[in-house]
Amino acid sequence: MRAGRYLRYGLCYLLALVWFVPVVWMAVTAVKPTPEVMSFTPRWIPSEVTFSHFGELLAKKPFFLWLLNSFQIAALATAITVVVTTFAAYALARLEWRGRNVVFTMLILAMFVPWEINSIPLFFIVKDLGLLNTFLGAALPLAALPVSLFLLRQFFINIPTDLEDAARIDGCGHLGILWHVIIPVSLPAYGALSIFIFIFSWNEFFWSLISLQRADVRTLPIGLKTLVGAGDIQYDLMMAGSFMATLPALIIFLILRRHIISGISMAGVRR
Amino acid sequence: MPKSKRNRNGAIALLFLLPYLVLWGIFAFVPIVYGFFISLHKWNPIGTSKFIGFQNYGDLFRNPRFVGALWNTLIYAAWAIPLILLVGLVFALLLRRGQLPGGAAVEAALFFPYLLNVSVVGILWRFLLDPDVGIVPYYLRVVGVDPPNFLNSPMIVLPTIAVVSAWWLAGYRMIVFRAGLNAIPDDLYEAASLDGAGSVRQFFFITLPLMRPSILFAAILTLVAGMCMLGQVLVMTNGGPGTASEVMALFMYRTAFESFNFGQAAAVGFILFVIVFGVSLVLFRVLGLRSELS
Amino acid sequence: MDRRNFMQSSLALGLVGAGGLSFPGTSAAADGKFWFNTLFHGGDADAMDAIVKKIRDENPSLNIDLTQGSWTEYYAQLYNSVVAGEAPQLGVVDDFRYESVADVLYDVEDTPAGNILDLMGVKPDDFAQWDTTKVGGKSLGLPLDQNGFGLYYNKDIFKEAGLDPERFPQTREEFEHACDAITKIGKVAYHPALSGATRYIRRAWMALLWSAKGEYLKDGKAAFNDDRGVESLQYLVDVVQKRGWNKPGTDGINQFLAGELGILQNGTWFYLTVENAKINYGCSMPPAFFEDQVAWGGYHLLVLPKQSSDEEAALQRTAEFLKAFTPHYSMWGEMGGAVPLWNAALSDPELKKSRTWEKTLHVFSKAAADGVIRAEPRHPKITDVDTAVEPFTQEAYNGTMSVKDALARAEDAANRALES
Repeated sequence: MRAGRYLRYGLCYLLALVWFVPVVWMAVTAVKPTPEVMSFTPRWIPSEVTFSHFGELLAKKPFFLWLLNSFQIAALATAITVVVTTFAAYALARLEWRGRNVVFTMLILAMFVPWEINSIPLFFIVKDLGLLNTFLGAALPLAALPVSLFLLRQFFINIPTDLEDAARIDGCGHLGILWHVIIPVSLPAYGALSIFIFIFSWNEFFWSLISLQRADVRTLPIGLKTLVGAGDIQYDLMMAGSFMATLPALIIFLILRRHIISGISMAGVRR
Repeated sequence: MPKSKRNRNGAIALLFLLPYLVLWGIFAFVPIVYGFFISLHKWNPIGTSKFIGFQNYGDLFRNPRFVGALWNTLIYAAWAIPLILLVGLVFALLLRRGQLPGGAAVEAALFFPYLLNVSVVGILWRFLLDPDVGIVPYYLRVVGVDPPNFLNSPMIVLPTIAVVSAWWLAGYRMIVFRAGLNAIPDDLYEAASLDGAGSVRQFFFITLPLMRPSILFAAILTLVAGMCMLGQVLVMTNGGPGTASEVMALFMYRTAFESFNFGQAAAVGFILFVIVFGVSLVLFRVLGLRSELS
Repeated sequence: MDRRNFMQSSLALGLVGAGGLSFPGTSAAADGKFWFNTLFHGGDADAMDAIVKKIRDENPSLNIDLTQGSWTEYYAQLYNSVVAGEAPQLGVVDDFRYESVADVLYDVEDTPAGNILDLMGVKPDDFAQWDTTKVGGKSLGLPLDQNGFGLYYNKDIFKEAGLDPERFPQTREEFEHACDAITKIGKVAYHPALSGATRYIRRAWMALLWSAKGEYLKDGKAAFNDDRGVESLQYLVDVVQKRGWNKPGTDGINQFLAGELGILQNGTWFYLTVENAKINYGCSMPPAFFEDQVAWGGYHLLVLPKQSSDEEAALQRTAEFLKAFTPHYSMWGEMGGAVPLWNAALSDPELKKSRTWEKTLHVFSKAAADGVIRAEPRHPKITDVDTAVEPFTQEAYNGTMSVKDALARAEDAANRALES
């Protein structure tokens, strides 16, 4: 038994190492002098540590603008999602009405529609709404993702009714119940939903590529893509850019690790 | 509940649902219908469009490149979905319950790639897999394996991208699955142990059946996302070698934004919609997930 | 997370999000800016940056907004920005993609503000090769530069292989001998197609096809599937499949920058990159592999995307910018590495004294003058034809398809693209 357990531990450490090596290699490459980047034999320890690639990148590309844009779009999408899904989830989970099951089934089916494939018609719709190249245009389709509503509904439906009944006796209407009962006990679910939708928007690629064409509204994934030229990739710059793009994620992850992990666990375990 | 109450509730429910429904209608439902409408036209965004019936669809199915893209998408999905789920599940099983010393660090290392955006993932792996300066082929050579040219062999390129996708996404599935595993009561396993069931039997007779709904649900969501994969190929191979990694989403993107043939691109989108929605629906019904989700 | 915590963070999130609402959205023309969007991304982007900085200093009234990057998405952006009514006033296109976006460009000699050349106070003759701008009799742009492929070689490797580093092989025999010598010392000899990306393999083959006096398109049909096509593609395939000068699927730029590659075919724009990598290099045109000496090439054109509002004012500003740009054509050549298509720049003694001229530009400039650099045929569907052909030339190069099959299927796909 004991040997088996150590074997399992060993396997875990090995996998973790393998999984993380690419990120380490990225970081090492980012601080290498240019001539050493393209070596046929890997050099893990650079002859000197240089931050010139970061400087060059920041001088050439509006990296912080990309970062800010990404952050704003993700925040906008998250904020809108939280507001609209709160009401919709309440209607789907806490109210008895005819047609509820039909709407819920439709919601589940809607989750099976890959929303990226809508990008061409969506492009023209968003254009007609005058929202092309705006953060709102980038965020609204993300806020319409059925998965968010599903997650919140699954949480709301498991809240015991006694609290709600007590509130009702105290004379609370639906808005009162939502505000005083449902939302306070659902804070972990909101955390989970926000984290889910924030990460999703943060990494979103396809729709941003199409809807955000102007340079001043580019997001981080699209901006980094512009570092891949027609043929040549300057890997030193690329790795510096990738590393800098990774840094905020790493820092936020280290601070909020517990919340993120438990948030995703919660989002996933409901069924 | 009395009927009048239900009706009143119905009005309130509608009111509460309205903001979401409007959003969903404009940005998810209408585009499907509108996309179909566009696909029936020779669409000209800056002039007049011409109605041409189903000609775009006919042209597509006569185009070997489109059929190839359809095929590539299925091959990618066939590799990526099991890989992502399997790796996620294996990680979850390995990390189940927190007895592992340093488990948090291991978990962090396995999960972290999920936080990278697709451009970083694609660029990084392109660098790692380069036949000359990449460290993956280098270390394969060191251990005596002759590495294939990962991103330039028609047979290997899609599985390679699937592995990269698994590296990127499996951590997320790991967290989800582990939460599911931890929710299985310990006494079930204890009882099974007392009955003399080994860990393999326990896995197949307790873990798997109890995890079934969450695995299947994850499978459908992974499928929906996998069939529309674009970022990885756009950054790593641009569809090559030849057209070996040209998937539907890339074909659609190129038709729309390189050839400016929006009508045909919309047709690709609609076909993709029909396929993905159809497959999900079938899986959903056949596997009877409906009752387990409500 | 307690409730207060949650409320605080959601408030913060909402505020940031709301900030996102008000930020962008006005079109460049409306706020009095001059928006110049190029497809440059490497050394040539740096060059354009430097030029625009100078123009800014000289013309503080011109509120210039320069954006660059993303070659691959550039044409989509250009087209979509016109569709969206938020187009830049000035763009840059490659001549081989020029006709595919012709719909969204002004005829520079007949804009709503009149003839741009008149507004600039210049004549067509001031530009070198004015005719490159013509599409169906109209000029949809202004010539910026002529760019193209040349061979960059590593002088240290040449020395090591016992070759004269100051004299690049002038004939096919000499070239082959040099490659064999480099292979013998354990280095990679030759990469014909830059990073090895699909389109560069096609371009490398096209130059060989032209060298063998073959044609790519003729009378609106694919014309390359003949003996000349086979002979030229076979030669390219043999580089990696038979002669052992390289392997398929490698990235020549990586190899060259690692100092492992003897000869790399790459574009005029490689100049700054190779300088920064501190490689001891030379540059030359390829020898005549078959009958003619040819290298693949193209043109960059300055184009004026259609504006949605206040066209005249926008075009006036464009003309003003272009007028301020013309004195900097030679700087474009010096830093961007391509041959500037402005007569005064071509005879500028400053340019001839520059390091670029000494290292690479004199080679490209002479090749351009001698007609060695050849551009793709003009056709509205040329982009579709190219993307139809590319997969097959790459498969032949990779050895996964015979040369004969590849050409037959490429011909088929190209004709399909031409018909649709």
